[in-house]
Amino acid sequence: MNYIKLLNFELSRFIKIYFVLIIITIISQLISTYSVAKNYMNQFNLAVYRDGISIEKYVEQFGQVSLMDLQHSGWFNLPIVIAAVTLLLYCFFIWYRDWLGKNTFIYRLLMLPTARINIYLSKATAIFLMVLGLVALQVILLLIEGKIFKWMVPANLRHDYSIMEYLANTVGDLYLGVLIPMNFIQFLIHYGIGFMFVFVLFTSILFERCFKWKGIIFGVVYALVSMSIFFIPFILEIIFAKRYLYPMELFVVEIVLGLIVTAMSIWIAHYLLNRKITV
Amino acid sequence: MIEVKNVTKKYGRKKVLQGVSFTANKGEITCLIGVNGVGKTTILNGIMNLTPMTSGEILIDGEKLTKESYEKIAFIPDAITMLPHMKIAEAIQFMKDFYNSWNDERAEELLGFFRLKKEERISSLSKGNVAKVNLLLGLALDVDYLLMDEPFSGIDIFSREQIADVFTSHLVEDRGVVITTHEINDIEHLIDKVVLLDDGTIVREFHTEEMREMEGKSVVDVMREVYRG
Amino acid sequence: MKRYWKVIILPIFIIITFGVLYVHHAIAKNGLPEFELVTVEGDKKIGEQLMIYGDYHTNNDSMWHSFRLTADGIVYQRDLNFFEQYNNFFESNVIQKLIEEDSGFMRGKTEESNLFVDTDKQLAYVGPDFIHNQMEVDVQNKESGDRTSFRLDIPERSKYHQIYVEEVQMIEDTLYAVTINYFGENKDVMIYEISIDEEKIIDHYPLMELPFLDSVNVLSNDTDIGQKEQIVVSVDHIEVTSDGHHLAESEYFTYHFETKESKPITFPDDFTDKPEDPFGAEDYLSQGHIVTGKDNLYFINFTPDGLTYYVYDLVQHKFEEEESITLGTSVLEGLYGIYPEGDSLYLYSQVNENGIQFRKVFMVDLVNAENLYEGEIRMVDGDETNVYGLEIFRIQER
Repeated sequence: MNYIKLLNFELSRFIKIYFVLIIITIISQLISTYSVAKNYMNQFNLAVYRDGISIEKYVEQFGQVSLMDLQHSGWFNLPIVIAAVTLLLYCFFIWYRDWLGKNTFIYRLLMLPTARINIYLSKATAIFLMVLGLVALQVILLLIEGKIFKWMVPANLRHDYSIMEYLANTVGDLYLGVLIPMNFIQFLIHYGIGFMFVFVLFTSILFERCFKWKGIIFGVVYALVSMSIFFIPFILEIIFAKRYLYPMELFVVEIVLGLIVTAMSIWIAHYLLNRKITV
Repeated sequence: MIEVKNVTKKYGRKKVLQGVSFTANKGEITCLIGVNGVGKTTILNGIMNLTPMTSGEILIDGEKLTKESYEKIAFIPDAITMLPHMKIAEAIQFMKDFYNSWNDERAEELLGFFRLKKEERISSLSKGNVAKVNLLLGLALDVDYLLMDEPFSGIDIFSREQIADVFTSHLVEDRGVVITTHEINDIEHLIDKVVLLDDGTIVREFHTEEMREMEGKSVVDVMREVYRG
Repeated sequence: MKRYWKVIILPIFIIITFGVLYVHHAIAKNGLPEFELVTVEGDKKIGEQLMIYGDYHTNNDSMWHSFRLTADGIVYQRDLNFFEQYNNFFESNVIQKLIEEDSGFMRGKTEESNLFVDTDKQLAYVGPDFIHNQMEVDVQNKESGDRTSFRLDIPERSKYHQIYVEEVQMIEDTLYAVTINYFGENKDVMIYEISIDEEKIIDHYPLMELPFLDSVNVLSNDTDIGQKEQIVVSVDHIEVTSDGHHLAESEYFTYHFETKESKPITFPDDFTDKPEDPFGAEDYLSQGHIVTGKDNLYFINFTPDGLTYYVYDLVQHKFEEEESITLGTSVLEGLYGIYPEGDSLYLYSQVNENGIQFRKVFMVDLVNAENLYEGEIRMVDGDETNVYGLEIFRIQER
């Protein structure tokens, strides 16, 4: 229960910035959708009504408008980048903010009558929920953006994608293909790996908090060791120039290694918080 | 009883505490005295497991500190440990959420005693009032032991008097209090036991009453002896 | 409770959104049409034996969906669950079968069928070991399951900067590895004779030395890893002029491992349609093609309405009469790809008849110069007026 209370508290501490991110994303992406549809229709009207090009010819030459056209729009991508960078920075800030000032909130957190690992877990969960919340928002926005096209562009001039069709086409896309995988297991894998990295980062930060300057080295070494463990099958593959494991085996091994790295990060964090942490 | 046994703390090669041992009893006010930077705060942090000690042992009622201990021992650092943007009511709610030992009645009483308004934000309070809120958040816990770090530093005279009044009231009664300070004047008459620190070690440990009766010296007299040679 | 709205709403929002997204996707599987292969002419059983790999896409759509079509129906890669996708969708059948039969033996081996040879009694592999700069040999007795594994130092290894194993064969207890060894501006085509009993290279000799640019190939049928006594080698001599690379001459010969005898394949005088310059041809169908059958080589050229080819008998070492198969002008006009398998050739053509496109699959028997099968890939219950494309990139036996 204390974990839930702490989680709620962590969410509250970021909720204002989080709402700002949500609002920026919604406004920016809707503007982007509106302007892409509007521009397309303006050009279409000019070409067809002024220059007398036939509709078929126009479609043949310039193509139909679809969600795909959003990908090249800065207004569409910018909020995704802003949100990603903000949340990434917040992974650090979520810890360092507690040490800011003279006598600080970390005193309060460490003196709570609850297992200290709950602080760590609640901070991690807060990050996960906020990341997933924004990605879910993106899914909803894509639906709405599809609707906007339907309102603004006649059917013969647009191509309607379902979200999955859209995603299938954005596989090479840096943001969306990674953020919203095509199937659920892939989803678990992407976010499993992502959250493993968050745990490793958190534990590295705790190393720094416990041992200060020396801790930076410990933290970096810890991160490198964790990554080496996780990527060891691939490292061995490069060293021996051989693919020893079959894909399915590799998959299972990676799951086990991912769990080991995550469990190790949590266990070390537990140790550091109880034995080595300093205000 | 809080037992600090042969505690040493090093930061790198620098020794901040060296073989420090003392006890603080329930029902007594124990005062750790020493100039700034002598390690008083480090001792309190050590007792609360807020910083690891290099060696030695700290026991509370004969046991090592666990998460349950925080329901039994409270620490009031020299600055507030709540977020500045919180209202007093929110800070109280936070404490209430996490501590079973939180005593709402006492919190209300303290609010009245300090004349604090619940709706005010911590960031908008005067220094003296921040110190009072800080004190309130510790005092409203039904704990056996209270640690206070420099409760009087940088506070106006009227607030000091108010805070000092707390020590003679039922709010502190029966509890074991450990207080650190580098200026003794305000509270000399309140304290039962004195631990004088210098250079990371304990140079004198005595009960004020015994000292007065046996040697006819006040705390300040002893301090002069110790620190001025 | 009211204070905890964030902890309640956020997870619910996430679970519902992704839940609906993935569940809907799993249930709907909408959009992608069913296709079937319908036999138009010939033995229905041939069609039932086929596995057709391709991509489906609708017009004006950048989306491609890989599929596998058999008599059991169509399977889109998209619709496979993650674990099925994890196994290679397009894995070579031969390799896949070997892995299924004995995953232990196949572990860590380079997955190229020409590095394996399967006699009735033994399965052998010779592959590169890039770390030790050696050759890795692994032979398994198929009956007893006994394995002989060893690594071999390559003679004069330091002379070469890169060695690739091109073909592996086995006669009695001797393995023959054909390699291309690069050094300086040249390359050696080498034969290494490996004694399995002695676990060493008992002989090695260059088959030929070529300039770096010349292209040399051991012609083989990817789906056949059976034992062969001889190999067919093709060499394209490349000439460099001021306006680029040109094929100066193509040369073909057979090499018999035991007799160590090379026999050139000399084309009859009337054989005019030799394979064309690969750098000059406009598209690959207008070039000549060589198909490696069991005992024959087929040199194939396309005509406006079919194909003509010369058969070279690898046993008798002589050319036979020119053969031809007629498929029709419209088939050739829409010819999309050819897919050899042994002595058979599969063809895929998008035949346009009176403005309607038919997607046809043919199987011709090169030994008897017969068109054995004609099938049509049809959309099941589909709206055929819908413009879509089917790109086929492999047809093979199941």
